[in-house]
Amino acid sequence: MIAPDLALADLLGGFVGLWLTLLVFSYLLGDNFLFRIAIHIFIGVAAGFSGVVAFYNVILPQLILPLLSGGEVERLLLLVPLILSIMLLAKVSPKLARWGNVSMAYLVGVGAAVAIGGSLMGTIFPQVRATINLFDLQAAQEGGSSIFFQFVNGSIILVGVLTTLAYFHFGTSAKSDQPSQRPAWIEWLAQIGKIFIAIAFGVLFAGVYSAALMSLIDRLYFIVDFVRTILRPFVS
Amino acid sequence: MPDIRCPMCGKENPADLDSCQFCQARLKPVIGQPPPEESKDIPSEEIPLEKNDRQPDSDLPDWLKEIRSGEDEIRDFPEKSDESTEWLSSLRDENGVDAESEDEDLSDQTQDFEFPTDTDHLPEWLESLRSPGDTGEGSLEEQEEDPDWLDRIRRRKEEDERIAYQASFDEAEDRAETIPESSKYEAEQAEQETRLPADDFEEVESTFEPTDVISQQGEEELSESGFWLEDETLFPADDLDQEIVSPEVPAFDEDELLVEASGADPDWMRRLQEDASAAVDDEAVTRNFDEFTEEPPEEIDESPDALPDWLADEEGAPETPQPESEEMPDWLAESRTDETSTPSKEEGEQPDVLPDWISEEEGTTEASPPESEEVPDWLAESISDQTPPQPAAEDQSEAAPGDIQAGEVPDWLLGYRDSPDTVQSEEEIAELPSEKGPDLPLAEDVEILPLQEEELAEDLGLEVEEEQQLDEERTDSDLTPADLPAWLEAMRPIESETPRGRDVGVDIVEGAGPLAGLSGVLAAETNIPRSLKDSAYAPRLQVTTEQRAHVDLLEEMIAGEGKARPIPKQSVISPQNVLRWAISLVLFIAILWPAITAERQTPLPAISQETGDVSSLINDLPADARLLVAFDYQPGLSAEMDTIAAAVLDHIMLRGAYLTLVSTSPTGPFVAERFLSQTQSTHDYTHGEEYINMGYIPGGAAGLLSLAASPQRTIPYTTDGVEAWEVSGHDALPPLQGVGSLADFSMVLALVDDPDVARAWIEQVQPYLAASDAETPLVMVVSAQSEPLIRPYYEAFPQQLQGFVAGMRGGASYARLTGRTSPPTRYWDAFSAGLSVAALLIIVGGGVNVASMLVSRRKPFVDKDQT
Repeated sequence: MIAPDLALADLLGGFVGLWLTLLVFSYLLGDNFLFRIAIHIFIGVAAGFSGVVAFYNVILPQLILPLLSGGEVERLLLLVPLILSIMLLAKVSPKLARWGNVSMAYLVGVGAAVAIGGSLMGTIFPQVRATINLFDLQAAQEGGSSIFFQFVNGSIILVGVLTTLAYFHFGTSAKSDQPSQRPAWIEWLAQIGKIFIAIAFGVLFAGVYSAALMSLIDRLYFIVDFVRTILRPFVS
Repeated sequence: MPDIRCPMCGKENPADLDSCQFCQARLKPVIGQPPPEESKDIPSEEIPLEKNDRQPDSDLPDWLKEIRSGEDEIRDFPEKSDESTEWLSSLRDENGVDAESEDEDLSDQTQDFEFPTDTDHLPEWLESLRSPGDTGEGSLEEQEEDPDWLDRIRRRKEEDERIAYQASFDEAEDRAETIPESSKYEAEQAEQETRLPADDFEEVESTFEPTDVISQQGEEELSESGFWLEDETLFPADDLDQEIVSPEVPAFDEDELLVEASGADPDWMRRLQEDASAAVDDEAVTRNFDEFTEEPPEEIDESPDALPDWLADEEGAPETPQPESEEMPDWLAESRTDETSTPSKEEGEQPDVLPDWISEEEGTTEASPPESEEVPDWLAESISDQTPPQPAAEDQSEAAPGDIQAGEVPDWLLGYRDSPDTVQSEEEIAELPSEKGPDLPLAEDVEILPLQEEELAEDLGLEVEEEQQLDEERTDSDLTPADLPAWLEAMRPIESETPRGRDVGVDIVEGAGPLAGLSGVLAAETNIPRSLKDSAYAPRLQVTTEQRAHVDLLEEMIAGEGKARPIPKQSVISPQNVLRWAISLVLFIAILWPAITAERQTPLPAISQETGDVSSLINDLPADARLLVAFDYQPGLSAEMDTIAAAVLDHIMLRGAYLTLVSTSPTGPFVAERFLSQTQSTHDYTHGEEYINMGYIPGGAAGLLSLAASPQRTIPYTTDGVEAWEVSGHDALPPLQGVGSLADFSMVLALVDDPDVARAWIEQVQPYLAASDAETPLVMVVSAQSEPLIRPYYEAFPQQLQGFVAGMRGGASYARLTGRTSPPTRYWDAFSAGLSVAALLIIVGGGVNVASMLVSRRKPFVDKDQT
């Protein structure tokens, strides 16, 4: 019998992976404790790993070490994040929760500002300009693209954008003798936009299925490979 | 036409007026209608009728006829045109009173009214009141205004009885001296206010009983009961000297009454007192006699001699000899001296401020209420004679002062009873109308409400405690209880339990207002009877059986709302489970078949535009290019991402580029290390030489912005804690040599599975890259699920994303470009089989659903057709 050409760590890791994979596959029989064990292990390991990484990769080198060995100016500047971090920990206690509102406000404010600025400058303005530029037939011709296809492509995109926006328009005019409903022309556009939305959702679903299928393929191939590796000494 | 003197205020008014212009009192009395039925009983409520309106004389009792005959004589009062005052005028004429005298009050005129003295016309019950020896002629009044008939009454009294009353009167005078001025003033004001006009005399009369000592209300009453007033014992002649007062005068202040009565007691009242024996029981009289404690409304004579004897007797204390005033009649003075000669127990005691009938009500709570001395002997005797013996001696001991003990009949009353003229059957006595009402409780049963008591005290201007103190000081008088006549005994109220609630007119003695001093009147607002508090009981709601069942059901539903419902156990083998197993089996077979057979039958996909751009960019990298690679995907999707990124990173590493690894996910550094060790092991990249792992960038999009703005401050150290950037005295690591910002990198490659993270890289980092002169390209490797959301950035003009490799299809196509064996080529057959099986299952399942829907729709139509 030839020992498998695997290191001990790899062998143990393989077995653990196999065991956890089989635990996840047990969901085919329905929700059971084996599946929950695997899920709990995954969540716990992920949380622990994230905490360790955050401490060793952020808090220790960027807060603690500079406070201990950094310059005076650096230390004074680091007092601000230190105090805010301590105040944020007050959120754990209901009595002291309001002390963490300052830190939360800072985080929420910065996050909102970054998100809003990025959305505006990184998505809305460029995408609107790009939608307009779809009808820049001269640039498309210079790029070597067919003007017709460029025009059709632009038109489809434009129609899709407008109808999709019309689908999400819910403003109605109130009438006393009639139920509130959107104008008819907006209603027609919304129906077309629904088609584009449905196509987009279909694409998204295909992508999600592809990703999940790849995960399944990878796990099945892992099982096959590990079993083959384990059994190879016994087979050969 | 001469003016009419107002009976209330005494002021002159024109004769043509019906009401006084000063006090609005009625000048001309209203003449009422005679009763519909004849009655021989004495209608005490009646007022003198007009001559034309009254009954024929033949139907009237004799005494009434006699009165009317007298009225006719005195009706010719020249000064009064009103017929109702004719009788008064006649009285004045008879007595020689100047009718035009403006200084005389009507009460004075009333005093001149001469009652018929013919005893033959007196009823038997009235005659029985006469003491033996009375001739019906009163003694001469000491005062000049005494009418003859009163004088006759007075003369009947014995001297010893006069002494007894005198003694009590003296005591009352002493008490009167202690009366504060305010109480006297109040009494005076009360008199003035309560002077009834002539037409209200009827109302006042209703409160009187025939046996009651007559009040000095008005001439009408005097005219009605004139015959029985002949009895000197009842109405001493001296009483008439006093001004007629209304019964509303607050009689609670005994001293006040004494003072008021000093100059206002009618002589006839005093006469009655004289006849009482000195040994009459001093227990307070019943409230039947309260009405006789009225005092003149105006004149409050402070002379100690003004207290009537009967009132003095109620005080229960012998009166000290009073200096005679100008108005003190001789008979009264004599009576007083006689009284003082009789030692009494109460000698030296302070006179009570309150009259006896008040002290009666208060004395019920006292331990030993003193025996009243204020009870007139004549009355005490009458009560004792008429009423049956007390059931228990305790009642007698608790009796308030003034009560006449049962069996005790005054001597003078005994005399009347024995005389043949005064014999009266008990039936006749019982027929006598009672103005008071039925069965008044004895004085000992009378209670004075605390509020009433306080009112009395307020009227008197004394504290309640003082009153109680005075009440306690009362002791038994030296008067012997008199024997009550039979008729009076029958009228005596039956002792009964003091009602909890206040019966109307039983225990109430009016304390203020026009009916002050009167008992048996309707309670005032402050004397509202206490209503019995209903016994508390819990109301029960009647609930039927059905309602109870509904209530129980509702309670169970509410109680079970918080309880978790047990999940019904489902069988392992179910249609859903079978379908799931079937689908899984098909997929497993489709996926494992290529893995088992190791055959590659599915061609690799065509190369897309975006994949070609990535390949072109990588091919255009210079030698020793520095690339920033971000591993921002989760370990759960590492199978797809590793497969896709393996071809790209292989291509990059083949170009010999240095890699700086970063991640905005905490697991990113670990995922990066694993990726390089498993997929790129053939390139022998060493950490710190060919690549460095800068670790985790916190803050999400903010971290990316910070990285784009200042990467040295954002990621200063590697995962090993080594300073990676070039600082003073330290060279940068090889992957970061010559790199000061993101724009210094040759390419930025982001491996992202989440479309939001990919959008964050594009929004935060791409502007900094586009602004640089180098125009560092941003390239992404994304999951298949993020491709629809990332493509617009690639399709945009100007491009925000210079290329991307999406999903297994992109990885396989990139592998086709490089021509290298990589994981995407291995998994492509299985991936294709899996996609085919999925598409086939979706089509078949959809078709089955549509068919079932069509079948289900046809059934109702078929049923309708068949029917």
